[in-house]
Amino acid sequence: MRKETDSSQSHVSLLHVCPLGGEQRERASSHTSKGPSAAAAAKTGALVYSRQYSGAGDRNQNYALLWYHRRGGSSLAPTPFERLRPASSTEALLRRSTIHIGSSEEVLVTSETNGALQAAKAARNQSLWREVNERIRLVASDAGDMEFLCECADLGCTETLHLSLAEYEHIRSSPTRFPIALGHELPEFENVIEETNGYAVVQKKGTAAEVAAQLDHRS
Amino acid sequence: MEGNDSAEAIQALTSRRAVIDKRPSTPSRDALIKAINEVIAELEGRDGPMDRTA
Repeated sequence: MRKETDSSQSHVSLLHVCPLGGEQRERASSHTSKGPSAAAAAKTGALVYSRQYSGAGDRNQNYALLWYHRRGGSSLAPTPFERLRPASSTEALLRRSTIHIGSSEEVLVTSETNGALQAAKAARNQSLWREVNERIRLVASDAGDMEFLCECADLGCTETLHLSLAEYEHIRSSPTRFPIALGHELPEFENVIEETNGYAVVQKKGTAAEVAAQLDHRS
Repeated sequence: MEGNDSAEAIQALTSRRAVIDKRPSTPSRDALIKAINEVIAELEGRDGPMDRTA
């Protein structure tokens, strides 16, 4: 195992590959000004965050989100690129949140990587609660309020929220907004855009917003 | 790592369900339990049942 020693040459990029199945089209957006191309990224992939989504109709697309950290040395690990397949919404939720670390001893996690991973983790947690709430929505009647889970990023949260279907649908009209209990926001990843007596609505920002949007099976 | 992610999600859902399960039965409470159970079942179906003896 080779340990990373040259941190000066390292940087983090966010690579999108979409859709999978058929010809792959790639586009890469770098978090630094000297980010490599997607093709170069495909040759590295020391740290990979992958996701998959499969929905109905024209939403039937698979995505892979890759965060990778380019090592300073010349030895480049192959991208742990797996063939993606259609999945249920829950399975897709987990699959797309899977983090692969090719060789932990070769990965130098920068603060930028940590920030991206924390943002992704927060968005993933919230998407898990959103998945439950979507099922509640399916069985909810049109009359009266329904009880939904707080969609904050804390996996240990046990709060519930009372929302009308109209209120819930209003929030769900945006893939980057989540209803949460008052005071449950994480300012580093989201902004509170609305507060009522019983709940707040947060708008994800930055990488968290991007991940939240990609994890939304409605969009 | 996928198994760890599933286990973490299932554990979070199970903990949340345990809190809700202590409340008296109401339509909204029952809907919450049902929704959580569905998601847990999907996760367990994907990765196999969790070892509940641990």
